[in-house]
Amino acid sequence: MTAQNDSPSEDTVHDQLVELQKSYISKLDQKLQNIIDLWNTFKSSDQPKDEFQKLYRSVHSIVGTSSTLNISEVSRLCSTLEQVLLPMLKTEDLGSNDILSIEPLITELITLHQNKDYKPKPIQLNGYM
Amino acid sequence: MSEITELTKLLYVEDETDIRIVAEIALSQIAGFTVKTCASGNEGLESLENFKPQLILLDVMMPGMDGPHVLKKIQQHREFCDTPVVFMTAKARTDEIEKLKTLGAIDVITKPFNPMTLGDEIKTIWQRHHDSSKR
Repeated sequence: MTAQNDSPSEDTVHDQLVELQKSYISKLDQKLQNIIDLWNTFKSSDQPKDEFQKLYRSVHSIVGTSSTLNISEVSRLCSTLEQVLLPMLKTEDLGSNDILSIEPLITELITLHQNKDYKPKPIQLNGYM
Repeated sequence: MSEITELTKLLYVEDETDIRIVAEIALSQIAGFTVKTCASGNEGLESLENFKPQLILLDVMMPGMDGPHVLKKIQQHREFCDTPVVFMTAKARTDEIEKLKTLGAIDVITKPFNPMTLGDEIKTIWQRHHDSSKR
């Protein structure tokens, strides 16, 4: 897809970003459920390394989008989870201590998923984020 | 003294649909660039010859071919090996950013980015790249 400048007003841009934020929030239930599912698959897998990669990628993608769209609670929690997961990507064997350090964050994510309190912040183009 | 060519055409490769749309708004509607967006590294590489970008923005972590792999392919391309590449990543750690630059990217933009200033940031990177090339 190729796009070119057609000089929109700030209001138009703002409205588009607000719609994108709403649209993304409507998809978050599924995205967070996917992380919970990947976590459970990882814990019971014979190939945990592969499952761990998938888990990391899913968390990472939510960090980038939720932070840009100002969905603060999701961004905060997934960013914390990503920081815990990242060094473990490079380790050969994930031990029980690793799993213990991830588990509380997944529990927090399950609660967030149940309560759906994603805490989106208003999109304000002046002083964005 | 030669003038710096104005940056007008950007190729943006990002697998996440929502972030791709935000960036497209930022780069085309706000900053005024002509932007081609692609959802995968393969699609991006296939678009090079037809679109002929002046600068390529690459997401780092993508399924299939990741950003560093796409950069390597671009560096091997006979026509586009010198086209500057900028990575975009949610990983903001300094060591990660430096590692990406050593691969040959001219800069790294971290997410979250500000849609209102993303275009200016890229113009600054373009200017700096050309200033350093002249030295």
